[in-house]
Amino acid sequence: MSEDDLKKAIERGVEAAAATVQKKGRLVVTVPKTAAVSALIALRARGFEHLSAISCTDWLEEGQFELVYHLWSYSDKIHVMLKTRLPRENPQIVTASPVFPHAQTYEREIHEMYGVRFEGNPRLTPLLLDHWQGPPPMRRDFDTRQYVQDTFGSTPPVGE
Amino acid sequence: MDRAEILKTLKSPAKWGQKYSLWAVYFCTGCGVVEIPPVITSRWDAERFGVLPMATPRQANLFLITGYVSVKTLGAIIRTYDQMPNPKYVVGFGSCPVNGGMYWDSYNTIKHLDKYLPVDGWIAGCMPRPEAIFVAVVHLWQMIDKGIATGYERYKDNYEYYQTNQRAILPHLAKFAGAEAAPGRNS
Amino acid sequence: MMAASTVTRIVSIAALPVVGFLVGVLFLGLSRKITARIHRRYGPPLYQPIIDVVKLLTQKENISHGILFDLGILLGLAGALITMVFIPAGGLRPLSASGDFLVVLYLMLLSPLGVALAAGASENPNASIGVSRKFILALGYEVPFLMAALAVMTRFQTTSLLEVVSCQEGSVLDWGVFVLPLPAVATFLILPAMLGIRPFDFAGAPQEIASGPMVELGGKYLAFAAIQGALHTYVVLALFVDLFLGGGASMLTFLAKMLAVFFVGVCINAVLPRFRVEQGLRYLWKWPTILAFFGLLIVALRLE
Repeated sequence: MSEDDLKKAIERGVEAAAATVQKKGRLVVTVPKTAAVSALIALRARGFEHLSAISCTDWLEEGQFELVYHLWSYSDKIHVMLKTRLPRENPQIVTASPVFPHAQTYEREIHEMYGVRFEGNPRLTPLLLDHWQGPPPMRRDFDTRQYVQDTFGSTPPVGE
Repeated sequence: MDRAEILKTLKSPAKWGQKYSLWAVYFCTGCGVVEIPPVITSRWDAERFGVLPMATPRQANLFLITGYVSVKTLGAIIRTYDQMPNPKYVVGFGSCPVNGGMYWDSYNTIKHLDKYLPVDGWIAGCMPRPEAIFVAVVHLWQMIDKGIATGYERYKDNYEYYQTNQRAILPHLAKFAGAEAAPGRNS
Repeated sequence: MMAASTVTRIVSIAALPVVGFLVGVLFLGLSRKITARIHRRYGPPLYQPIIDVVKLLTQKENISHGILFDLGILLGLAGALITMVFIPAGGLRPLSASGDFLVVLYLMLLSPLGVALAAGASENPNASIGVSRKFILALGYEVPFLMAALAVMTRFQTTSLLEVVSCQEGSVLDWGVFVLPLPAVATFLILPAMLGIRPFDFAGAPQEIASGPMVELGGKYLAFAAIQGALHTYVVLALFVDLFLGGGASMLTFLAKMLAVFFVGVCINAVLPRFRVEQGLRYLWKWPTILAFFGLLIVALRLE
């Protein structure tokens, strides 16, 4: 189906969804966090079988995390970016692994790097970091250079 | 060639053996290891320098730290280095062991290999060409000749320094287990 | 006269290990050079194994895993040395007597046993896996080899290697390879397995099990293990030449024949990949065993 038909179907089918056609083959759907998993189920039923990735953006000024689920449909050749916002204090959302089993690993990485809790994910253990003691390192209020200075010694001076 | 100098050989067969039979432990440390297979295969033949890759650290006396050293890898590198028998030589390969290289502001890689292991020589580049490895091997020969490739002795003499630095990054390493808790670590 | 022959005997017993060591080291260097040239590269100089052994022996630290570890390696080296002394080599025939073929067949298993003892003492699971693979390999090649050996002993009606060699004197057509074609072909087919080269080097596979039994050997232990490997190569090649290629009238012809067989082995080693354990066993128990069995059958029927 075309992007406009899909946009109308999603806005009708998923509660509180706002869809925009970015360009040909790309659709951005924004949902509240309580509707994220039901939106995933609805989209999967419409042929979006491939979850490419789950990415997380730290909107520090607005005090929110934004999770983006990247879905692809082989039949329609449309890339849907399903976006939800989480509050920065105590960020948590229901896991998507019942819908897409491999979402478990993406959520594990986001949990390690941003500190987002995914309720129901059976494996929120450290993935890449080794005995990490500090705050989640990909958050924008984590001062990487200060941490490097403290832990590993001097960094070479870089002309900005 | 250099190795045909009989008098030098007769004066110190140990040095002759260590120079022309450098067996590198085949530990693929970081992305720099992509330069090692071309070096040890037919095109840039490292066997004519006596350099062979070895599967186990017990049989090796050269350790090429190729590429960036993440914190997890540093634990494995320290364990491997501790298992190698003396005399052993460490060469930092690429710019990441020198000063952090491309990952100079990363929270998960070490910046100066020299603080955790004694390093005998550095090869600059990202990545260095295979010819640079051969230049480094020849330099290492000259250092062994002059008797200044003494990283393993520095390790023994300054073990407290290296141990403190290693412990600051990797307090959970098995070799520190049972010892008193390092300052700053929650017991 | 008695004293002179005893003196020559003692000299040859003392000289043979030295000869074997030099030949083994030379063959090791040759194999690396020939392999390199087959790979279209230059390769190390011919005396590179000497440099390696000198480096290993002059290493400042030799990490041992207990008394059994030390003794195992020494047992392996001693086993290889003592097996050598029973095999006639061209002009030298130090400890030949009747029945020495059977003694050699027993002693050939002594050096792998020594290395296995050291590997067991090293408490490394890779070593245990390597030892089990080595014994599976030995089980594989012992079956056809013993049948071929029995065929040789039956045909020449002797258990003395010296008599086997002297039965093949005369002309080239008296050689074992023409008199006993089937056992000779069978033994040639299992020669890579006995030498421990590709496609049968899964016992000490560096890529799979981190050098197998030699994973914890360093320094002088590795030097002894390398020397033991070189002597074992010598023993296997010398046995093959004595049984099927007519021994050697003098040391030179003997070494030349060994070199020819070794050259074929190196070419096979340079080109072929590695068998899996079950593939190797299946190969060894199939055609070589069938050929050796029929060779033995023919010899036994010929006697009737």
